[in-house]
Amino acid sequence: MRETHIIRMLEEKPIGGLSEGEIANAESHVARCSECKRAYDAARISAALILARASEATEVGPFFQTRVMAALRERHLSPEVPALVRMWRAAGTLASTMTALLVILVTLTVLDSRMQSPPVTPSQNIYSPEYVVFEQGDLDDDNLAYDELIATMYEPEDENGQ
Amino acid sequence: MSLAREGDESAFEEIVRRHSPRVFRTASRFFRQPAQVEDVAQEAFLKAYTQLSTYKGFGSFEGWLTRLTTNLCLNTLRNAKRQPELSVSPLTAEEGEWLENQSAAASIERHRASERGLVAFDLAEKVLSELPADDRLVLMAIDGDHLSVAEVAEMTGWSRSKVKVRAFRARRRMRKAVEKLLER
Repeated sequence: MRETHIIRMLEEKPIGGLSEGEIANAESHVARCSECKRAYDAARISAALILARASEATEVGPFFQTRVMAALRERHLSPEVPALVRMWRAAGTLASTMTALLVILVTLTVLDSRMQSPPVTPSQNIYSPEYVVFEQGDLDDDNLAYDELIATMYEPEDENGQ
Repeated sequence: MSLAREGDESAFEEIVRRHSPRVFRTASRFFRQPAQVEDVAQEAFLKAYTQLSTYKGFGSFEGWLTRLTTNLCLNTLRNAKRQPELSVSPLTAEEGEWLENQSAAASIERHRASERGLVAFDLAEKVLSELPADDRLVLMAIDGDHLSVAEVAEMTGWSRSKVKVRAFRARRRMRKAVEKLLER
C-alpha cells in the first residue's frame, strides 16, 4: 500500500488544485490509511488557512500618497544617476582638473623663463678680452696675426697690474 | 516615467497613486498590521524613486515594482528575529474550536464555507509567521493568490525550479505545523 500514499501529491500542488479524480482517490485512500489521513486533514486545513489569510489585504489609506511625498521631501531623496553617467561625470571632472593643472604649469614655466635674465656668455661680457678683441676691436687689429693676438690677450700682467 | 526619473515629484506622485494597490497587496502577503503594511509600502516607493534609473523598460513597470516590494518584504522579514523552532503561540478557544471543526469536516467543500472567518485569518497568521519568509511568500502567492510558478519566478527573480522546490517544501512545513496543532 506504500506506493499509493498521497503525501507527496499533497506537497506537489495546492490542495485546491487537485482534480476531482485525485480528490476521490485521496479520500478513498485516507479511509484506510491513518498516516495519510492525518496529512490530508492537515493539508486541507493549511489550504483553508492560506486562503483565509490571502483573502485579506490592507487597503490603501486616503493620505498614503501625501505621506510618501512628505517622506520623499523630508529625506531629500532624488533619483540616482545611472552608473555610466556617474562614471562619465567623474571622468569629466578628472579631465578638467588635469587640464587646468597643465595650463597652470605651462603658464608658470613661461613666466619663470621670462623673469630670468639671459645667461651672460664670455663673448657678450663687454669687459672680457674676447669681446673687446672680436666685437669692438679696432680696424687696425685686423692686421694682427693670430699668434700676436693670443699673446696680447693672455700675456701676464706686470707687477703694477698693467 | 521619464519625468519622474528626472526628479519630477508630481510625476512620481502619479506613479504612487496608480500603483499603490498592487504594492499594498504584495506587502499584505507578508505583514498583517495595516500600519506595518503601510510602512513597507512607503519604503518600497521611496526605494523605487531613488532606483528609477535601474528600470530599463524591458518588462512592465508594475512587475518591476512588485519585485522590488517583494524583495524588500523578504529582507524585512529575514532581518526580524525569527525563532529557530516552530512554537506557535497558545491558541484561543475560538481557534481551537475552528481547528476541531475543520478536522472533523468530511470534504473540502465543507471547510470552504467557513474558510474566510476572522479566526482562520488569525490562526493562519500565527502559523505562517513561524515559517521562513521564502516559504510564506510562495504559499501566499501560489496557494493563496493562485499565481503561476512563472509569475512567482518573475516576481522574485528566482528560477522556476527554485519556486517549485520552495513551494513543495513550504507545503510540507505548513502541513507539519498544522499537524502539531492538531495533536495538542
